[in-house]
Amino acid sequence: MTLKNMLKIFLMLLAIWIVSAPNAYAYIDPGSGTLLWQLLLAGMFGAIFWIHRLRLWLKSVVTWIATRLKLKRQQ
Amino acid sequence: MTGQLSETPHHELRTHKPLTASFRDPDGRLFVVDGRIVRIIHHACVPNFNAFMASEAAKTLAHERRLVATSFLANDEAKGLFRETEFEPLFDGTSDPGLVVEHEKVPIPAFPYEWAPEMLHEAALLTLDLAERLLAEGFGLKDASPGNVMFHGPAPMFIDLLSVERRDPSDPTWLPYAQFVRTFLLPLLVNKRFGIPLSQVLATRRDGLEPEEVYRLCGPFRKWSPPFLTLASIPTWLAARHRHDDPAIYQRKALGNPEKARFILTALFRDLRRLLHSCAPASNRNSVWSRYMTSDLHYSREQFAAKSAFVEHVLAEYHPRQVLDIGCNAGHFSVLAAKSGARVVAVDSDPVVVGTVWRTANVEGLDILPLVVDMARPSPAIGWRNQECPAFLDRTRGAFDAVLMLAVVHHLLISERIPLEDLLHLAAELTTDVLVVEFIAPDDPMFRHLARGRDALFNWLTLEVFEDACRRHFTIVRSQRLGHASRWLFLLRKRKTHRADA
Repeated sequence: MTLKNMLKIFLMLLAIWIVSAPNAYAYIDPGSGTLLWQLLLAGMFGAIFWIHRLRLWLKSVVTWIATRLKLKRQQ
Repeated sequence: MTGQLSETPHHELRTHKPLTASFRDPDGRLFVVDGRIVRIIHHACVPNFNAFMASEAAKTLAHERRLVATSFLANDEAKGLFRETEFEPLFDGTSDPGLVVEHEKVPIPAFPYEWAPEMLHEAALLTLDLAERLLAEGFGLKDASPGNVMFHGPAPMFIDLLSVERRDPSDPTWLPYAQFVRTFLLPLLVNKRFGIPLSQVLATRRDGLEPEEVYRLCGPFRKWSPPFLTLASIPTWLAARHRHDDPAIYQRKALGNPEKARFILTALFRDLRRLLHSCAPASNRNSVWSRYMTSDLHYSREQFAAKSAFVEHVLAEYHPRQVLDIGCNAGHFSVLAAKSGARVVAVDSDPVVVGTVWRTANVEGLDILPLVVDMARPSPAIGWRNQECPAFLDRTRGAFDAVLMLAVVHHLLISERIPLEDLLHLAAELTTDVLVVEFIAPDDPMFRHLARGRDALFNWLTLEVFEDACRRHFTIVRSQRLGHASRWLFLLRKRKTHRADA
């Protein structure tokens, strides 16, 4: 499953959760919805940041192991 | 935070007048002093301002003319400018007056409700470009609205330098995100998908559209389709779930990791750029007047060539520096004027054709400012005390040395029922010298089409009556009939007494 598809499923589940909110006929704080959405996006991009970092770390570990193995074989 | 950079020619005589649009920002204030645009920056904000002006982002954007040109004024000069005003005590040496800078003057300021959708899109791109460049140097924007941008010709220019501040490197939120959505993305979206004119949205709302307002316009399927889902529906649903007495979401967020905060903001800007792209106006839009210059042209090829030659001859003869093209349509004559070296303001009531003029001017690098203005209902003065954005006529009276009114007088006469005398009177107020006007007689097919059987109402209108009306304000230099058509072109010059009055 690609990251794009995962994002789509996440968005759908999120939308189903929030659409089930009761109708608010009281005063609605203007702009709060967009700000909350930005915070959710920030959380999502934050998670991608750690995935990105993990990928880089794994890559460096694999490179380190490969270099070590190569050196061992040469010895 | 808006700072309007120009004043109407009418207001130039009044000195030391604070620009009313600049009162919102406590960090500084704009003034018109003897026709110069001067800003006093509060002393507490001077280090921040200086740091921004020294940044690579500011230098690059200023070099590209996408940031308003700014020069620092010495204390003595500033003191002289504000002598005998209520601001003189600021410079008496007892307190720190802060910093005084002068900005370049935008010749004709235009406001977002007068822009074509293409121009709002371009202003949004500039705002995002600036935000991204600032991020790399540790700065951020306090606000992100079209009011921070003005157009010189077809090019947008960021004018509100006090919008820039040092940002907390660990903050992953872009505070103006919601304002960017409300004032750029949602107006562009409803214009593109529902055909709601920007003038309707932005003239009546300083802060654009709320997601809830757009959500109510959407049918059940549209609510779930992008970009409505993320720009209108999800924010509406989230707002309904959010307790409005909980201020926690407005508190600054700080992460322990500045690299992560920057990664998040970079991704956020990329997402906004993608959304902006999806709201961009299409280039192949149609309107009542969008095909006038192609399939609907009411001239033979020879007649149109003669009309173009007449205008070109006037431009070559008088070399006007400032031209107003009223009823510009796709901008054929505005382009001729701009190519002759004039700075052109091209107005039309149809946003689609104004968008076409903007695309042409932008691609060809012509000094044309295209604006959506209906001359029968020009933009009024709006905002606080009706002083934040001056009326269109107050910004343009006497600002041009040539005005073009080609194939437009009959529309104003018939459809808007504006008296001929009044029309020419207004033309004489707008131009300081030349008027090129086209007279279309009542037996012309287009005239009859517009009159819709009310031809009898215009029995009085003859070539002689038109000429007599012209002579009240102008001298007729020459006129030319376009082939056998009932259309005449006139080159008029404002009478000397009227010029002296102006």
